[in-house]
Amino acid sequence: MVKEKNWQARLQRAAGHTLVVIGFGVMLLPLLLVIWLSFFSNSILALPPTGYTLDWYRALRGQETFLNGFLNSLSIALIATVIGLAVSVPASLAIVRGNFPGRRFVLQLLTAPLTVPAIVIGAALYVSFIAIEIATSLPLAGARSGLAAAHVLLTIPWCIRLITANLEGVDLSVEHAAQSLGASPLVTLFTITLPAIWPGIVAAALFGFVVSFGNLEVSLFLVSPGETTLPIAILQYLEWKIDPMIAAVSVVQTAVIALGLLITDRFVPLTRVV
Amino acid sequence: MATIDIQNLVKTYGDFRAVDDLSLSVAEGEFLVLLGPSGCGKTTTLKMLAGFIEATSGRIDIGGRNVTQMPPHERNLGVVFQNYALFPHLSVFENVAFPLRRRKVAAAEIARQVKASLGLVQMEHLSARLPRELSGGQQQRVAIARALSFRPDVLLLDEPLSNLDAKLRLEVRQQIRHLQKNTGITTVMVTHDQDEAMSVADRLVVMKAGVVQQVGSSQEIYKRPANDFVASFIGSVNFIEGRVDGGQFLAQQGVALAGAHLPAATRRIVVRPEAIRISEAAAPQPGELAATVREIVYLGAHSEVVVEVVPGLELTVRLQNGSGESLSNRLQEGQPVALLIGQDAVFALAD
Repeated sequence: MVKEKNWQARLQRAAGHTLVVIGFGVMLLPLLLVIWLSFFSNSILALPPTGYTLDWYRALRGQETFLNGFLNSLSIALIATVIGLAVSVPASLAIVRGNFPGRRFVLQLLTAPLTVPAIVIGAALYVSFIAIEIATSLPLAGARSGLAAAHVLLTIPWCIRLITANLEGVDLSVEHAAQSLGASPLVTLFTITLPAIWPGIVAAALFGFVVSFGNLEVSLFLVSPGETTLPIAILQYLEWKIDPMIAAVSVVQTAVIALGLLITDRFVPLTRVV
Repeated sequence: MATIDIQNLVKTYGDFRAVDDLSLSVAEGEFLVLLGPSGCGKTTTLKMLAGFIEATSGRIDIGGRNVTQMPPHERNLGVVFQNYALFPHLSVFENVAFPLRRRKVAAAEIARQVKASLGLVQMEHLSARLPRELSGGQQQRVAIARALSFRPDVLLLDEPLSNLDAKLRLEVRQQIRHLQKNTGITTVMVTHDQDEAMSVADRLVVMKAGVVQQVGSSQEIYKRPANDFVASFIGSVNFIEGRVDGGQFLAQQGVALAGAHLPAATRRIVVRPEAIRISEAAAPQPGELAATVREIVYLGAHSEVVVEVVPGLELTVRLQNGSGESLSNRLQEGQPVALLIGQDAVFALAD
């Protein structure tokens, strides 16, 4: 009886471990594969490789489309994240702490872009921007401001979700305590509430940045010809040829994001953030 | 130090009257406890004192200032919360220094006052810790130090012991009482625990459904409860229905009890379980009642014995469990006993 139980427990543990290994495999394998591919010397991707080389990384330096795309993506993502936070922090405070009718509706509205397919958002924005351009002659479609505005739309739902979740975890009595101890509502916000939800704000910034940086569908409609983002540059390159250069670009892109995560982790442990 | 004056305070949520026309005064240096079951309006009252919620109508004066419309940060009150409410990202020292920093106290003076306040609750040695590194009892002591560090006019305690385990509760309770006596600060505490309330209060306010039922010292409220609710909320009681007849109280079941002092219109009396004397005599003496033991519940320091006087009239009697052969050990279920219910143990209740 005892033996059988032991055996069962061992089987369960083994099954658990297998699931974990499979899970990690599914997550990491594509990434490892891309890293491996980026060192292939054949100019058409094929298995097995004929040899290995660093040429694709060297060649990257000469590829201005990728470099420009990277810089464009970076600046758009930074702008979208900053504006997204600037909107989401006050909005979250109003939604969680405020007491006005329609709070739920505002929350739904701000997180709605998450439920609409990005390609639909892109198309809809493109049409609207054109309509606005015709009516007001403000250049939006194909302008940087229009693209940034669209990306703000992508970052807001993530920021709102993460910050409201964090804010709900902050006990109201902590804020009451601060007020009773002599802190005005504004001082309470800056000395107590914001520090308490700081991990949520960092997480929101991270998610917002990554979502914007990697976005293809919305950007596709809104970039101007000379100012593509990195995902679009990769897509355009893929239309002509499939060589390990693509893998090399992806590795660099992944490395940049990973570096960003590591630096963030130095200031706010990521295990506490998400 | 200050007095508190509450006049006709009302708080409604829609049709629900959470606090219904409450008027109270708290004397300087007094320890007042608001006591009642959950939903009786005691916490709502405290929150209105602190300014966390706005009164629907009425007026609150603290230290002669009308604070009814004043925001909490201008009221100069120390508040201690059930869940401690320490600032999680600040050290113990910074938590206690927080109110002093808001008051722009000089750094050297802050260090001195924080040290003194933490000393009051024996927490000086942990001033560098973060709240999450402390036990519940330690956190609550830091919260008390924080609420006292800036010498507030009034100390408000909202169920400060409810989250602590039984042993700590006793310890922190004594500490609160001593601190209050030593500092002489006017204090209002909210609790649903009658032992806790009676042990610390100078004066108790028993509340039910937003309305004050009785105000008085622990003794007054225990010995002379104003109504059924107060009588049963504070300690256990035996209620007996009947009427006054010829200098006696005649129970519905036909048993006569001593009651010469009762008002003629009395329809209901209260007898505390510890006020009934029980003896093993098979035949009752004059003035005693014959009864039969129905149930004995051992509760450590005392036992509760349920006796039946006549069918339909059962009384609970409390017996102290002394060392060695005590009466409660000898009593058997079904055994005949004699009860002595003294006149001073019986009192009348208004409905």
